[in-house]
Amino acid sequence: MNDSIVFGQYIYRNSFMHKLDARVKLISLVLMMIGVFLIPKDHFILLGIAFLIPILAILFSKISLFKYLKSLKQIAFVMLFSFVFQLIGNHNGELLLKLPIQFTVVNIAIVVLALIIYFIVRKYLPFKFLIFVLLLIGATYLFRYPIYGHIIHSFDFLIYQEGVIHGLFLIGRVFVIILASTSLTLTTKPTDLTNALEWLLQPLEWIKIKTSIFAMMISIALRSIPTLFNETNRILKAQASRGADFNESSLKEQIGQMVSLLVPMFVISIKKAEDLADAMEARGYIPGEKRTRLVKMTFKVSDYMVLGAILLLFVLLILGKCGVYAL
Amino acid sequence: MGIDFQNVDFKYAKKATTKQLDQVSFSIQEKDEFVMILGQTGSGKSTMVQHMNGLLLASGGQVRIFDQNIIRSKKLKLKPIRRHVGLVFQFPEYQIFESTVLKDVMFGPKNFGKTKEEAEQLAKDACQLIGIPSDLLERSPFNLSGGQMRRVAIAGSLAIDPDILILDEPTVGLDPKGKDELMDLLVDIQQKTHKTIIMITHDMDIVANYAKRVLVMNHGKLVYDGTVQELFENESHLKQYNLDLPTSALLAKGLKEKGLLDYQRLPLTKSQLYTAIVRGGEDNE
Repeated sequence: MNDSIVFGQYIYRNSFMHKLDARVKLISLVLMMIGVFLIPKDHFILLGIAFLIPILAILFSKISLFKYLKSLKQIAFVMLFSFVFQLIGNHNGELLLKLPIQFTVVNIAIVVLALIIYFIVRKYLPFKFLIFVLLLIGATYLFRYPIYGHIIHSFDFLIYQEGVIHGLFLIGRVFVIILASTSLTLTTKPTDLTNALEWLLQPLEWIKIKTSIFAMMISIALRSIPTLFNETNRILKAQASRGADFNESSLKEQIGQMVSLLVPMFVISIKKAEDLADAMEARGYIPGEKRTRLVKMTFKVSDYMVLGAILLLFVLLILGKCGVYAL
Repeated sequence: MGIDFQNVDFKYAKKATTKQLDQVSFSIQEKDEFVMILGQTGSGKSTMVQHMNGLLLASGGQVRIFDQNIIRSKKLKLKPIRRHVGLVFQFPEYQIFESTVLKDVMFGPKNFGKTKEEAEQLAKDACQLIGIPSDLLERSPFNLSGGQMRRVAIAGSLAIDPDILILDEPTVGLDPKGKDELMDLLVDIQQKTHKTIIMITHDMDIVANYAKRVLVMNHGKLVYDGTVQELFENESHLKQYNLDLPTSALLAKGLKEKGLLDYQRLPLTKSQLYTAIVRGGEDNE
């Protein structure tokens, strides 16, 4: 039905980033994540350097910036909240702003009402996030200058310099990591990624952990997602034909109708798993046994160069952290 | 009018270049029709039947079901339409989820607001119509054979008592005996209840034996709407639509080429072939 749905965000292009070995990309991402968290607090220059890496990756991927921004959108709420928490919680440094906040019956009622309306009509709105932010700003304004009513409670909302700086730094950190991991998933096929993971986990074989089994499990799980998605769709439609419409029923009915989806999905999943196990066994798959590969992964010159550059940056950062020289 | 399509187009995405349905127009009465839909895989058969009970909504043209215009609208409730037009998907046994056969068949009527007693009565009637023995009603549907499970699933749609029943390849995966039994039951149901039955099939023998009217889909277009005899007698069409002849017709054609048999009308079913052979023998004498 939905043949177009492929799991993951992989988008095919003929670019430098796509040709880069998945192992290099994976190692780079891991190093970047560690590196970004090792950057000393509020050191914006180093964060800027770290920021350059995903920017370069984006430039060399031939994929429009829009796709990357889309992945940021999903985490925008988390970023906003961590920023707000920093603003409220961090009371170091210079006092920047003092907002006396006054709660009255009227303004609380208005804000609550506005929020309720927002959550009801949210489904039909464009720019949800923007509207939500505007709503928050409006609410703050309303609490700042109450129009009418008896003041129940009032306090001063204080914003300190460090709160703002640290909040921004935190957002920057998350930003870099999200962009970097998005450029990995956008330019690497899920199968390549699991192969890379298997290669990376090889050292675990020394302590008798069969990493190939885990890699196989991951690739099977990834492979099953579109299939199960299609099956879910089919069962949903079949039950909808029997009057179980998830869009047009009350909540109580919907819970009962959930069962009509879940049970068939369990049955189908187990049946498919059984069939797959038989098929794998018929082709001589023995868990943990040595297997040959159709596509051998080989490092190219460009792979070594990218890996070298990332390693160099990482080592420089570590040395700085250890106090060899001042960062 | 039961189902009426006027120049219906369908695309999965707005920007998609390929159309799953392309200017499809036809109408089907709400009573006493037995329509079979043919076409190769990917020709748009399943897409078309999903338009018939509002699971998919047309991108262009007009779909009218029981004089209700099916359009993308918040006001339009699709549930009443599904009450009139029941759709049984391919491999419907996967939709079974309840602990007993009776409970599973009752699921549909209960969703459409019937009380427990009414639903039970409807379910029992449906099971009887489709030939599920009453001692199976309290059994778990998951322990039944494949053919019986399929009947339970079809009963699940039949219990809603729709005016039009659509089945997507109901006989696929059944053994020859099970196929014939199920087809006989469907014909029987059609004659008893005067419901319109629409089914998708790839089995030309079933088409030859049971169809009154045939719709042929090819690359999203409706290319044929007429009787079985006419369809199978036009060989250039058959080739064009990638359709086979029924077994009896193939045999008859082979015999004719060898000069062993002569006929005016291509025999499509076993009994027609039998008559042709017997008559041919008499003529020679």
